[in-house]
Amino acid sequence: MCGDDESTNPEYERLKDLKDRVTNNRDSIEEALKDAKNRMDEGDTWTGSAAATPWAEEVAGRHRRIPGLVDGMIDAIEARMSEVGESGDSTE
Amino acid sequence: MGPTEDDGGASNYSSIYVESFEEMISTLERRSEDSHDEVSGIKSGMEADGVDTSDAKELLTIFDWVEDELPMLRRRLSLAKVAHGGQPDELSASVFEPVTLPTEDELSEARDLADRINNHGYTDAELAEIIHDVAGELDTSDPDIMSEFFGRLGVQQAEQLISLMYETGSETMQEDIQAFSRGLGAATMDTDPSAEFTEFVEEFTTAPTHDGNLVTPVAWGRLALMQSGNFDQEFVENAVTANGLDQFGENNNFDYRGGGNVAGNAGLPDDVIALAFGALGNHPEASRNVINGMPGDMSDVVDSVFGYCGSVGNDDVADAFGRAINSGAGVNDEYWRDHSDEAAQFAFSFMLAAGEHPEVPWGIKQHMGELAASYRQEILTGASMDDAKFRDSSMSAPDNFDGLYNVDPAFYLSPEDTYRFLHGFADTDELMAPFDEAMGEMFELLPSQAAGGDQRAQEDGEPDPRQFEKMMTAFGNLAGLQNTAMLDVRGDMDERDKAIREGIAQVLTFGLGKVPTPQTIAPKLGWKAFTYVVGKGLSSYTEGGETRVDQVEAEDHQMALTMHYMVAEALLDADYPHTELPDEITDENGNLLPVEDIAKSEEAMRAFAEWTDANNTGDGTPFDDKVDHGAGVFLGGQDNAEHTVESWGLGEEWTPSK
Repeated sequence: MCGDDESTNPEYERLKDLKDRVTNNRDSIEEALKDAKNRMDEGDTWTGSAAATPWAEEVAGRHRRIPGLVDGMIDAIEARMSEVGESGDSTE
Repeated sequence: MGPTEDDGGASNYSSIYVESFEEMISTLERRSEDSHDEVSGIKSGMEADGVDTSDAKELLTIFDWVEDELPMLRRRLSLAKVAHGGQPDELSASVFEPVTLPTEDELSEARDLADRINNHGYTDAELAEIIHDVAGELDTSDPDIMSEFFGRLGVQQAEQLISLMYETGSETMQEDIQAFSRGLGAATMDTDPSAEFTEFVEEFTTAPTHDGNLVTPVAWGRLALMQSGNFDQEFVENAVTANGLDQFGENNNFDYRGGGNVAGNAGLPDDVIALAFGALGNHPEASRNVINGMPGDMSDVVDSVFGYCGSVGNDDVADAFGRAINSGAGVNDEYWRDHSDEAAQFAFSFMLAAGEHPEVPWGIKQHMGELAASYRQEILTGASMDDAKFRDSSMSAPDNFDGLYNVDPAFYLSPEDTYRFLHGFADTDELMAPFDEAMGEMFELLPSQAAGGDQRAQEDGEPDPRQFEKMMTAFGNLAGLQNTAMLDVRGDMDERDKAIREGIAQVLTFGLGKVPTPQTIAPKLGWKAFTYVVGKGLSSYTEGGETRVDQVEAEDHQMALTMHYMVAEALLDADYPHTELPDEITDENGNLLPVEDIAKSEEAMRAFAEWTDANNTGDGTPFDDKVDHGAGVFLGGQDNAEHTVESWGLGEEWTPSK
């Protein structure tokens, strides 16, 4: 433990909750496009060079970007947490 | 374009596997929406606390992209559903690219077409022409356009459409009905329909009733528009249930005829129940769901339908019910060696239920024959009395039942239930033709495969598993049961006997290749001849030349020769060890002469008999023993079957009189 309730920075706590929310939902967010990406890779859902192939690339590209963006959100929250500080004393 | 097996390598079209594509879209939509909501909530929190949200915003653009893609994905799905046309799931549908959403002009044209009918205002010859013109202009390959058309037309006009054609003296009624039916089917494939069409579907799938009873002319008008084309499964299920089968399930003591004079001109049954089952005839899953969902079990449904058929006195309902049953049983879209579990369970239930009736409506008999042909492995296995003779019918293998070589049945009928089902369509050779042909194909294939299996086992030093003998016994059992059923249903078999004799004689005289009959004669005639030989207990042929009392006897001898020949040929095909073929029965290459050549010569017939008898060499079971057993099932096969059937005590309705 790092101190009593009085010394806890509420903004820090909110940010921590926000970070937890991102972490807890990370799997489902990262899987949003996974099924479509997998089905397109497996080749028994939609094929054809005119539309299916470009769409498969589009969906795969976006699917690959999601983990990095989720990391970016967590990094941004952690950066802000560092700024605001954990205890009430260090706020502002 | 229709279904295809390739991968859509050409650049101008997509190959879409409808089921997987639909699942992909729904999963993508659900997960992307959930993630969008979640990330949006997090982003708001981040903004409130001064966190940099650039990555969250970029993430949201991904889910926005998905949302933007969904209309085109759904559009492709709708087009693919229409192109797929109810074909097996493993086939893909071809959709031309680039796919575009219908333009406002195109949708407006669809509405204008509907307005031409809606706004004419008179029931005159001109309206007949208008309806015909509109039918010709429907783009039945485009679900969005079709749903726009029917949404505008409205349910009341749609359900009156065929009556209007009749009243206005349309001369193109039948072709127009088919066009509207295909169009309506396409409309139901629209995965993103307008509010008008959503309302249309809701009304169309709501029972038209008055004082709690079905208004049959209205139900008829709706269901008559569902006899061609392919429909969305849920729509079919809801429509046939609401417009007939729901009430029929509760009460089959009601007159469901609703077409009147219109039906005759439309070339459709006038019975609503016939149309309801008819709409299920090319929708396998819908057929299973609806029929399985009717009150009681399959036995109750069959009782109800057969009872109703008797009371209305026509075959339309039985015919349509048979088509619905065969659709659900996978007769039309599944390979006989590879029926799905659901279809097999459905077929099993129906076979048992139909087998409770010594008399079945005539209209369903041909479908029973086709069902038996599709479940040929199950019928052959069911007839087998080699072991577990007193088994009950079941979906899983009975205890102490070894099964037959390279036969993989989806269910196991008892010999009695097999007989009861065969009894239902044993009336004529025409009704039995699909089954005879299917059995003939298996008879050409399986004994030889079983003999090969026996030979390989013996080569490996194992005892002869005698799969060949088991196989021949099963075929003999089946032939005996089939023949007994035919005897009971037909009374006498003189006409059939004559036809088979003539058929075989023709083959023996001219040779198979020279007989001007369809290619399928060999399996069909082969199996018919086999059941004939079993029925007659024919065993000898060598005396034929010496003691020909009359032509019939001579032909019987030739028939017996043919059967022995088929058995020996099966063993030769399997390379079963045998002594050298004598010159009298071989061609210049040392191969066994065709049976027609042997039949022409007394010397060759005798040489053939002596050769099979002399084949006692080898370490394993001799060739001669195999032939003798194979031929042995001809002997007494009929007596055995008749005694067995008699022992079941089924009564006069099921058993040939002595």
